[in-house]
Amino acid sequence: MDTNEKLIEIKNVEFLYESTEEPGGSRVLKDVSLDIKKGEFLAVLGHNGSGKSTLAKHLNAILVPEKGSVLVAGFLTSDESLLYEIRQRVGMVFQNPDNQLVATIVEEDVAFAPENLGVNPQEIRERVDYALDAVNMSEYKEHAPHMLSGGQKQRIAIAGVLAMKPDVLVMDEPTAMLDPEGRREILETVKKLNRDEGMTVVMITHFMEEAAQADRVVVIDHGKIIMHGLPKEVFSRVEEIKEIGLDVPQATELAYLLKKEGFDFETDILTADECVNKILSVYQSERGADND
Amino acid sequence: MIKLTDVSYTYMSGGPFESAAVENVSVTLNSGEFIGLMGHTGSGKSTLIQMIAGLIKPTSGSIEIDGQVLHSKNCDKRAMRFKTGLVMQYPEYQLFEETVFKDISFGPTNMGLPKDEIKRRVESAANLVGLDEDILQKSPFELSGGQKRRVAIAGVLAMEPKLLILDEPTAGLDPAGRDEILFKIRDMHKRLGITVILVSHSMEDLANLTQKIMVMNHGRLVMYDKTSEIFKKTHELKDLGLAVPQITEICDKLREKGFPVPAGIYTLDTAKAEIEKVLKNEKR
Ligand SMILES: Nc1ncnc2c1ncn2[C@@H]1O[C@H](COP(=O)(O)OP(=O)(O)OP(=O)(O)O)[C@@H](O)[C@H]1O
Ligand SMILES: Nc1ncnc2c1ncn2[C@@H]1O[C@H](COP(=O)(O)OP(=O)(O)O)[C@@H](O)[C@H]1O
Ligand SMILES: [Mg+2]
Ligand SMILES: [Mg+2]
Repeated sequence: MDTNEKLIEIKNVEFLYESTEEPGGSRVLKDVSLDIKKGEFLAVLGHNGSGKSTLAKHLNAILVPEKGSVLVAGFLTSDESLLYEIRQRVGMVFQNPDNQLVATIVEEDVAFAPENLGVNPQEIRERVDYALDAVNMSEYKEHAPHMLSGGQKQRIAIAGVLAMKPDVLVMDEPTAMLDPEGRREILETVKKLNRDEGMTVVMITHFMEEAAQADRVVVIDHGKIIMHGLPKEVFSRVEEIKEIGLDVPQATELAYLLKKEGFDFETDILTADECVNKILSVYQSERGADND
Repeated sequence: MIKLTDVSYTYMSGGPFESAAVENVSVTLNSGEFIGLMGHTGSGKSTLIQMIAGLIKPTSGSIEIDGQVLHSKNCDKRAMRFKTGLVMQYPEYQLFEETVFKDISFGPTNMGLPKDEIKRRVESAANLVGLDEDILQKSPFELSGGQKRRVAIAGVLAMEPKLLILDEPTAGLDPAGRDEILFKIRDMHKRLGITVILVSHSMEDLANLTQKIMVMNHGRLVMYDKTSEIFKKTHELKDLGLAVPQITEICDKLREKGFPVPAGIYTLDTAKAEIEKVLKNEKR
C-alpha cells in the first residue's frame, strides 16, 4: 500500500452554522487545510467548542464547506450526486453511542447500515459476523443494545460502522463515556483495525495518553489548525499546549518538570516506560559522577 | 448527616432480568465533607447516588438525611428536593429549554426565587463552569458536546444545594475545563461548607479533592476511609479493576527497579518532588 496516498484532502475550508449567522459572527472553521493519508491513525485535539465535531462532519458530507473543498477518494463532498460514494467510504461514530443504536437486537443494529446501502443478505451476514468479531462482541449478538454497558454500546456502534466496510473510520470522542478499562479496550480495538486491516482512523479525543498512540496529532484552536505532527513533536511543546487549555501525557509533563529543575531530560517522552528508563539513566549517570 | 442503613436496590425485581445493583450498603457520611465514590463500571455507583438524591426508592433499607427519612410520610419532599443537587452521568440529555439562560434558571425558578436573584445565580453559575455570556442566549442544541455538559452542571450549581452530588461530571470536558470546574467546586465546598459527593474514575482528581472515599464493587461498599488511607492500598484497588494513573505506574516501576520513591503516589506534584529529592541527593 502506498502510505503517502491521500485519502481525504481538505482545502481551505471555511464554515459557519446558518442559525448563528450574524453580522461579524466568527466562523467555526477558518481556512482549514489537511490531508489524511491512507492507512494512518490521526488524532484530533482541541478545547470544547473549537470545531472538532464540525470538522468530523465534513469528512462524510453531513456538513459541506461554505468555502473551500473536501475530497474523499477524489469525490467532492459538496456534489450531492456523490453522497453514496462518500458515505460508503467514510464511517462515522458519533460523540454518544445512544444516538446511533437503532434496533432492539445487537445483530440487527449492526446490519442496519449495510441493509440501507443495499448490500445482499448473504454478504450482510458475513459483514455482521466480521464486525462483531472485530470488536469482540460476537457472543452478544442476540442481546438488546440498550441493556449493555456504555463500553459495550460503544463497541456495537463501532461494529455498525465497520459493517459498512468503510475506508476511513471517523470517531468523535469514542471513549468519553467510558471507564479506564473500557477506554483501553476501545483503543486496542481501533489500533488493531488500523494495524491489521489497514483501516484509516481519525479519532477525536480529550485524553492525551490516547492521542500519544496515534501516528499523527492535529490540534484545533478556535476553528484553526494550529499544530500538527508526530505525537512526540506536538506534545514536546508543553507550554503552548497548556496555554490553549490542553494537556500533555503525565510522562511528558514529569520529564518537562524535571528538565526545568535542571536535570538532563528531553521532552520527547510519551509513555511510562520511556519516562522510567530516562529517570533511571539520569539516576545512574548522577551516581556515576559521584564515583569519579 | 447522611445515614444509609442496609440499603439495596434491584432493577426490574421479579422479572427475568432481575439484578441487584446495590446490596446492603450501610454507611454514615458527615455533613460538610468532600467524599469521593469510585468503582468499576456497573458496580452500582450511579444507582447508589440516585437513591441518596431521592430519585429512586431503595428496594429495601432506609436513607436518612439531616434527621429526615427519605420517602417516609413526614419527609418534607419539597425542601429535600432543593437541598440536594445531582449532576447526572449524562446530563446533556436533560437540556430542553429554548435558551441556555432558561435552562440554567429552570431550578432556581422552580424554587420560587425572585427574578433578580435568579439572574444573579444563572450568571454566577455560568461563570463557575466557564461559559461565556454570549452563549446564554443561544439554544442548547447549537452547542458543542462539552459546552452542553457545562450548561447541565451550571443548572445544578445555580440551585446552590447543601448537598451536591456529581456523577462523573468531567467526561467530555477539555483538560483545562476539567481542572477549572473541579477547582471551582472545591472552592464552593470550602466557602459554603456544603457536602459534596463526587463519582470519578480519576484517582488523581480524587486524591487532590476528597477527604474520604467510598469504593464499590459488584453492588457492595467494600471500602470507606480517609483518602490517604485508601490510596495506600494500591494492590487492592488494582484487584478491584481500578486503573491507576500513568504517574503512579511510573513511580511503581521506578521502585521495582530500585529507585527509592515511596508507594501510593497519585499526583504529578508529589511524584516530581519525590523524584527530584532522590536525584538531588545523588548530585550532592
Ligand atoms: N448545530 C449547531 N448550530 C449552531 N452552532 C453550533 C452547532 N453545533 C456546534 N455549534 C457551534 O460551533 C462551534 C464548534 O462546535 P463543535 O461541536 O465542532 O466543537 P467541538 O470541538 O466538537 O467541541 P467539544 O469538545 O465540546 O465536543 C461551537 O462554538 C458551537 O457552539
Ligand atoms: N435502568 C436500568 N435497568 C436495568 N438495569 C440497570 C439500570 N441501570 C443500571 N442497571 C444495572 O445495575 C448495575 C449497576 O449500575 P450503575 O448503578 O449504573 O453502576 P455504575 O454507575 O457504577 O456504573 C449494573 O449491573 C447495570 O447494568
Ligand atoms: Mg464535539
Ligand atoms: Mg454510573
